[in-house]
Amino acid sequence: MMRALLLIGALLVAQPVLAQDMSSTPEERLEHMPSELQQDARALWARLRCVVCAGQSIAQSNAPIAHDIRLRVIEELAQGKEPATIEQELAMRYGADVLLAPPAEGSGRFLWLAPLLFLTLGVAFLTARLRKSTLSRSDS
Amino acid sequence: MMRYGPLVVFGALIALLFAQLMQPKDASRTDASWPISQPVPRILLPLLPKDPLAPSAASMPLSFAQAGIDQKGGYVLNFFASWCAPCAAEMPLLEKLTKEHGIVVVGVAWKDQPSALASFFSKYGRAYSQVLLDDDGKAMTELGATAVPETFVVDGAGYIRKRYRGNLSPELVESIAQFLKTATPLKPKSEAQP
Repeated sequence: MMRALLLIGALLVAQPVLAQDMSSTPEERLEHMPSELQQDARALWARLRCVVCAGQSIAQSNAPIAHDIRLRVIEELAQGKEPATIEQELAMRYGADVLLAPPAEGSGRFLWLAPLLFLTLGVAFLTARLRKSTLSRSDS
Repeated sequence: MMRYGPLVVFGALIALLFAQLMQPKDASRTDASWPISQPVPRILLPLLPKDPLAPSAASMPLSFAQAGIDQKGGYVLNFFASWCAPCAAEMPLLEKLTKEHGIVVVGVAWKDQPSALASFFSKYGRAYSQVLLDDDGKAMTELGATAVPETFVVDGAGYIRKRYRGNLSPELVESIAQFLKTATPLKPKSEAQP
């Protein structure tokens, strides 16, 4: 009898906790996770684009799909998946655009190298112009 | 020559960017290719009872295949929500698929409530043989979907063959019916069966 009462009591206490877990937000669920996982999750959230927003990360977005992807990230990290794998799989499903930082391969290489390339070209051009104007001044 | 240097560089840049734009995207990264030719994901979702307002509304999670689907003929998987106006608008077309073409349509309700679904079905009808509940968006994110409605066509071997974003049109409905009647299912892999 005592055991049955204890069991019922335990279930009654557990029920709100269970219910809370099912309906909690990704942020609330994350708070109960180890701190390393929390760090990884927040870092990933900041690197993933909200697929229905203009330029927001899923960390910043209130869109329902951003909520779902945040949840997915938590669950997959809790299953032991590496952040890079999670990013890759999301990119496979939503396209490379889901990554806020372009991939450093394929056509993404151009985006990473372009600023350096333009800077180099700009410096080369200015140097050539300066040299030319110095030479023409010394000639005259 | 140096006068035209910047112009030449600018022109070359425009040409390069235009060429990049015109190139087809890497198929492994574009969302246009996923989840085509992939097996239906092995996700377990709660099943909405026939009477959504029944006291025991929660039930055992089922996979898509377990939700009473005729795998031999293939089926249509339709993501919808009671709060989605285009979903209501396309219900007659989904009913056409089931009643005129005998095609099984499985509904996946995204972020919805049984009471709201009951009201939705009483207003707009229910074309679905089964309705699964995707409250956390597991199925949505697994399939790379972003919003409702979204429709997937699954062949007799359990492979996703077509994907349609937004609501269906009468032409698409005919196209889906034709496809399921004539398509050869993809060769099943041992891990394909859900």
